[in-house]
Amino acid sequence: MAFKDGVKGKGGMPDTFRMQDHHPRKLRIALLHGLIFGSFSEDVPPIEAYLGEEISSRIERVLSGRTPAVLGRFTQVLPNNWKLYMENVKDPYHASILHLFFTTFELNTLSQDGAIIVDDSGGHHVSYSAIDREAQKDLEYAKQQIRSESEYKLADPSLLQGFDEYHDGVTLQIVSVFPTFVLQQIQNAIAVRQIVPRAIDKTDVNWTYIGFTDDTPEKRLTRIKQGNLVGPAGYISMEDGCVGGFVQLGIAGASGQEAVLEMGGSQAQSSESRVTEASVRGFWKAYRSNMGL
Amino acid sequence: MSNNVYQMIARAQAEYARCIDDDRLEEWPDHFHGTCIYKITTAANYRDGLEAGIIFANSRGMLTDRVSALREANIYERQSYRHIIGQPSILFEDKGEVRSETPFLVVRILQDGDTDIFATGRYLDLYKLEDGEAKLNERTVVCDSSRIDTLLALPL
Repeated sequence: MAFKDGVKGKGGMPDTFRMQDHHPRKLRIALLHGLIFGSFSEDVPPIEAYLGEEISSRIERVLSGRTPAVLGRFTQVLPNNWKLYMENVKDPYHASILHLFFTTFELNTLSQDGAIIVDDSGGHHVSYSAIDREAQKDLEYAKQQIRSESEYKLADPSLLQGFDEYHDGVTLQIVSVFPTFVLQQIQNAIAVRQIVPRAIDKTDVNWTYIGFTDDTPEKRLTRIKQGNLVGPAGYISMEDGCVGGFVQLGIAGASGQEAVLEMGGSQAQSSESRVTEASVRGFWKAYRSNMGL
Repeated sequence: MSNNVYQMIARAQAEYARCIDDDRLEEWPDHFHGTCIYKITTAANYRDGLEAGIIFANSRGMLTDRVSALREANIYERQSYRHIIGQPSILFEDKGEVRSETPFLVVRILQDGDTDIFATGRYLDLYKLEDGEAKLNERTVVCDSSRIDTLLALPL
């Protein structure tokens, strides 16, 4: 510490000053499959208990047993409150309405199995979808009978040529951890999104694209190509950058009003259907409880 | 280096920018050879050797698809760019291949007239000269900042 004892015996800290009584706020750190979580709270439970078994296992599925390698870091600045972004992440059915890349190019016409998981606190969620193998068989059969009617085709479909990484058929899994953590697997595009509130109507999304140290050059290239799907210029996520701002504009003049829609009922529980806002309700439940509302 | 090469590169840079700013995106892939790399990254990623891009394409088909998606699939506020491109520095020239570095500034104009500096950075290019014309084999767009406001729709 500078000038602790003063200069030439004059000035400086009093005799009662003890270095050990002063330090920056301590951050509690927990490591989980290469991820680092931190909290300023001494009361928060250990990370495994905070996440619960179901959420932990879904993070484990993506990351465990391998050493992650960062492929790139980008920050997307959103013109909206952070909670609007988290609502978007937790809304499991907006993708087919807002993100038209797959439908336009008829890339994902298979009916898909999937589900959402909401933990007991409501604050964490998992949304996933898997290829329906029966539907795939039907489609393969249909292909032999008729040509696709699609007007638009990708000139270079190698964008979506991936590899079977998890052997469970799950091509999309989004995990969110309350309040501001997201782990994404979209095919072979794996990314961590850290959501940082910057102002009431401004939010940073810190994207970290990852692969693994044992990826072959081919696998690494696949991940980098599929990176076009996500991030600030992502075919299926650029819209998430602006849609919160549209909502923010829409509600600006109506702060005293409210509207309640109950897609999927009023509970905040896991569900085999993804046509539900259970995970969004869960988020607000956890938010209200943490904020003492 | 011949003045001729410098002029070819400068002309190619100007036409590239004008193509995007005039909303002739369908012609944008024509500035590249068939086998090409186009990547948008940041100075920090570039310095650290991180390979992923905000946009990454390793074929002209992927550039065409980027334009089709912007026109037909993606939802975003209508916007335009104005590229201001600095003087190219020719770093290397041999047998019709030219490496150059060119600074740029891109202003984004939104529907309501809001006009903001959207990106600054440099183009790290590998041009191949053919039939008196310079086309890109590689363009790495290195943005100075790691922050992208809202979304990056139109190419840089």
